[in-house]
Amino acid sequence: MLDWLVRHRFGVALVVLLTVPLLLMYVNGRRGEGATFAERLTVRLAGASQALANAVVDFGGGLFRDYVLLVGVREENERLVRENERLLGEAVQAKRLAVEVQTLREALGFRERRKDLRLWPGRVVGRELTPYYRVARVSIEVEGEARSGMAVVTHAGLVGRVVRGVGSYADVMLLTDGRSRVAGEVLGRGVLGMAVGTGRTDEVRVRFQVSMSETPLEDGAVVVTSGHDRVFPRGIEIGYVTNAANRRQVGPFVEYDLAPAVNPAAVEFVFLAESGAVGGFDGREPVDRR
Amino acid sequence: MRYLILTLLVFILFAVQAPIVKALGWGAASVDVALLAVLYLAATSPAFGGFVTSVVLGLVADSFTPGGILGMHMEVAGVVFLVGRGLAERLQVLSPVPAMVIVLVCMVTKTLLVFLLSVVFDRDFTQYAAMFVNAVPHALTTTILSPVFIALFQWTDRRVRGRRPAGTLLR
Repeated sequence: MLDWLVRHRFGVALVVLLTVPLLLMYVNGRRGEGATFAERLTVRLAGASQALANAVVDFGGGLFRDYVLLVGVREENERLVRENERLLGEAVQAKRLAVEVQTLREALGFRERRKDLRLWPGRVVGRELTPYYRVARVSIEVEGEARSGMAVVTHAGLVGRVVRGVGSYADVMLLTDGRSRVAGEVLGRGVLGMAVGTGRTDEVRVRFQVSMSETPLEDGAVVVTSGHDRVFPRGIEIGYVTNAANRRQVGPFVEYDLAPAVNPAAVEFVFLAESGAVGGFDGREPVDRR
Repeated sequence: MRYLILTLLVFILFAVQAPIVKALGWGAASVDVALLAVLYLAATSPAFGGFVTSVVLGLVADSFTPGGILGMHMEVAGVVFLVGRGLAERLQVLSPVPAMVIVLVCMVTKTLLVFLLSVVFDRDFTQYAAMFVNAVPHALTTTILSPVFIALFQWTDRRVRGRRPAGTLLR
């Protein structure tokens, strides 16, 4: 018997090993019978080995991702940083251009509104904020010299007046300079007064002095130039009253705090303004826009 | 000893393959390592030892087939061993290309066998079309990578026995 089995071992193995799987499939293929012992054994063995393999591969993958793939990341980061800086620069440039366009648009609108004035455009090229004076240096875009006393305005209001003209440059005394005096009136009320610079460097503020006989002003009252000083054209906004309750008596006047309509620290473009009846720069008559 | 080493190698390849395929995102494009090992055994081993080892390899494949029916791959491995042995005795396979052709034929045979056995024994089997669709990338990947794995088996054989198992890829 044993000899027969040895002689025919392939045939026996063939029959047995092709039949056993069929039996296993027959047994295991039935639904709802639960796992057999053989299934539990194979699944447990394979599951454990697959879990181990997963751990090994995950570890290797982690090493690969965290170290091998990171080669060149520093150069890539540097390139991205440069790219980011370039794009940020372009964005800032675009915003700056947008602000400039808006400013120019408002300036053009101002010129259209104030056709009674002769206006010459200028650009602020320097500021001098000393403890004593508040002076801005303005480069004007016309030939000749600006005369002392010319008003310097923006579309928002009064900036100051020219105190010195040299070539195409002019030094402008700001409204907040301690020496500045501008004749003003409260818009719609007819109350006359004088806007006086405080000369303080820690704040942008002007004092507005009116007669004691005038009725008290309220917060937000707009003060414009009255033209009585024959320096500033009439109707240019100087500022508005703030904290009116804190008005104080100074000699024969009542003094209010005034917030200037124009923050001189933020001004880039200005106009040199004169009333239409007054002449322009030396040797050159500007175009009459009226 | 040789059969044991080969079985262990297939076991390890099965265990490693799933996480690698997952990590690489290749999805269904896995390699039927058991079939390649069975074909290698069919070409390089005596009938008895090769056949028994093939059925054991089928058992390994069954254990690594979640949701499958135990015995399916054992049966298929036995049949593929016989088919492969018949092909290897008649073909002089000297290069990887004929081996790939044989692997492709065996993969088609295996797919048909799995389909047949599933219809007969698996009462839950209804996804006929999906099985054939998924079999295509599986068969192609196995075919394309078969020379690599057969070379791995040869290398392992040399380390175990100290010589090349056969003069040709499939004898």
